Amino acid sequence: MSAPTPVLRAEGLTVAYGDFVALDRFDAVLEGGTCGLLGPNGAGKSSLLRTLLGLIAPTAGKATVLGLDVETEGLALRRRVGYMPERDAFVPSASAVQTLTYLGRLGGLDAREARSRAHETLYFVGLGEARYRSPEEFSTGMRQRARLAAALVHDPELVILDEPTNGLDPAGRDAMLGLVRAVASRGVHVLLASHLLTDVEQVCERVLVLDKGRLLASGEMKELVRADREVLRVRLNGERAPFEAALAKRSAIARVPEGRENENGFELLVEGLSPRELFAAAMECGQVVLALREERRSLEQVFLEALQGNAR
Amino acid sequence: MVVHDLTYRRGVARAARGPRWLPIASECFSYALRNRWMKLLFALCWLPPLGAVFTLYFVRQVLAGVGAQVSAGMLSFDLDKYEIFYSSAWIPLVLLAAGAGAGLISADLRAHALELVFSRAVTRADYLLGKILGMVGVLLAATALPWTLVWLFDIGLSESSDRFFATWHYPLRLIANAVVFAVPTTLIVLAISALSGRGIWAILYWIALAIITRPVGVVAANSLFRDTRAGVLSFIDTFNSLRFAIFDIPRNPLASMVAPPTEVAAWAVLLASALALRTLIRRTNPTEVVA
Repeated sequence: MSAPTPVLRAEGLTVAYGDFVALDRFDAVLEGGTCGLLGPNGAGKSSLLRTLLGLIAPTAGKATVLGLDVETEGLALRRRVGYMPERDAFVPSASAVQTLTYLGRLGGLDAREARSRAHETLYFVGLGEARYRSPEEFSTGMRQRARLAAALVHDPELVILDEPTNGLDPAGRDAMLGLVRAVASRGVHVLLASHLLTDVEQVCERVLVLDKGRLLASGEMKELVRADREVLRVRLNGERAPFEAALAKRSAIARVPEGRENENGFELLVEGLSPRELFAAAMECGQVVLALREERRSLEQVFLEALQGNAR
Repeated sequence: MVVHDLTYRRGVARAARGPRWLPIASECFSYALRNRWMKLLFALCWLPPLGAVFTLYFVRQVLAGVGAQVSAGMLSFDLDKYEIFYSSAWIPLVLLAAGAGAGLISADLRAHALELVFSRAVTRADYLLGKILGMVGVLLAATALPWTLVWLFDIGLSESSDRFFATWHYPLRLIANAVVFAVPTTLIVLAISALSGRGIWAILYWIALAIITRPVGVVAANSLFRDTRAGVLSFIDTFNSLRFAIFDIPRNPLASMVAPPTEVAAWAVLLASALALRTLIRRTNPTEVVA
């Protein structure tokens, strides 16, 4: 049996505008599922998305999306890919259902099929009751959902979401991320470009970190934020100083995580000590361990380390 | 709240056939007749042809029926008569072009609709072709269609087939004239739309170009340069010049004073159309409007 076609394969993909290199020898292979694309402003995310949609030709290298060459098969590719733009975009003087019908037809559906899918997709994103209103009248959250519906209406295999939670309140963000997970659970591959690390952390199985046009880090989310067995996060009651002294006697390194000290105790990150030794140190100074777990690297740490590495 | 399962129709879009510009053209048609004011404008464009039908019927059936003396000139509804009625449709046609086309690209640019459009299986050529054909369709529905119906009415009222054989080329000339008006007008209106931030500005620029250039052309041709070639500055008279040529009728006295020679008018229209098309292509670059 042949291996499944990767959703994205890029080899030495380079995009330059004159002397400015927006994307520099980008190599990646994504097998499918949900993937986060992280990077600060100017990292090259937009150029990468435009290239993956087949809208700009690479200066060098090549890329395929769903097995289709981005340079020569852009039209066929865009029939199979849905795109949710970052900024507000709608069809003027049209209701939500008219907009989606139009976009469905542009995506290759016939008129009847497009109309039917437009209604269904609007129900899917929770805009069924508002489907005859113009998206211009929608709240920010509704507009975001309408844009997600627009990306889904022509039944794509891959959706590219550009900052899908921009401007949303916490409840709206949760709802949007829930929808993204629901889309992914239906077998649609998701490429989510965001600067909100927590969004990517909540939804994505894989991450690509871009900066200054270069791919700095990539991999499975589980691997990147895996438990760091060398560092223990411990919470104790009582005073911090005696416990730190007990740790120092055992040659352990202790760090204080930010904002983790209050009247109910304190939290420390301890390196170079086993849990058993840590309990012994606590008993020695008469303190009770309230919580103990292996410290996980956050995606933020991964991201910042990647950026700092690139800056050096 | 997730209600519908979106996976059961996978593959429908990939299998679809048909021209990619068609949805864009049909969207233009809907936009052109989007409210009652636009429908009223469209109806106004049909008034002169209806007037022609009424005249034909009145002269042929009513006057002749009551035994009134009707001259041969009145009985024959030839291209010079079409010209009189046609020229009276000019203002509603200009307004229809403004209402139908001025917002077509400016509104898309302002609403970032091109970002949605170009992320589909649509090229810039499909987009522009759809917009141009959609608006040309609207203008032809307001010009070629009613005037061809007038000719059919004329043939229907005639008692012998001689009228058909004498006028068989009329619909060709009427349609050619409508196309010569509709295509450049569409390109120019859309180019103005693409250059304007808002539809209302595009409407004003277009009306200024279509109507206010007339006194400019008159003054230029008669006072400043004393040469009818300067009449090319007048949008109306440039098209009038082409219409006289297409209908193959002598120019009326005003047209003789202002309308530029046919070759000059034809080159001016071609040049303006080419410039308009270039503007449209430059203003709708997918790599600049997406993401």
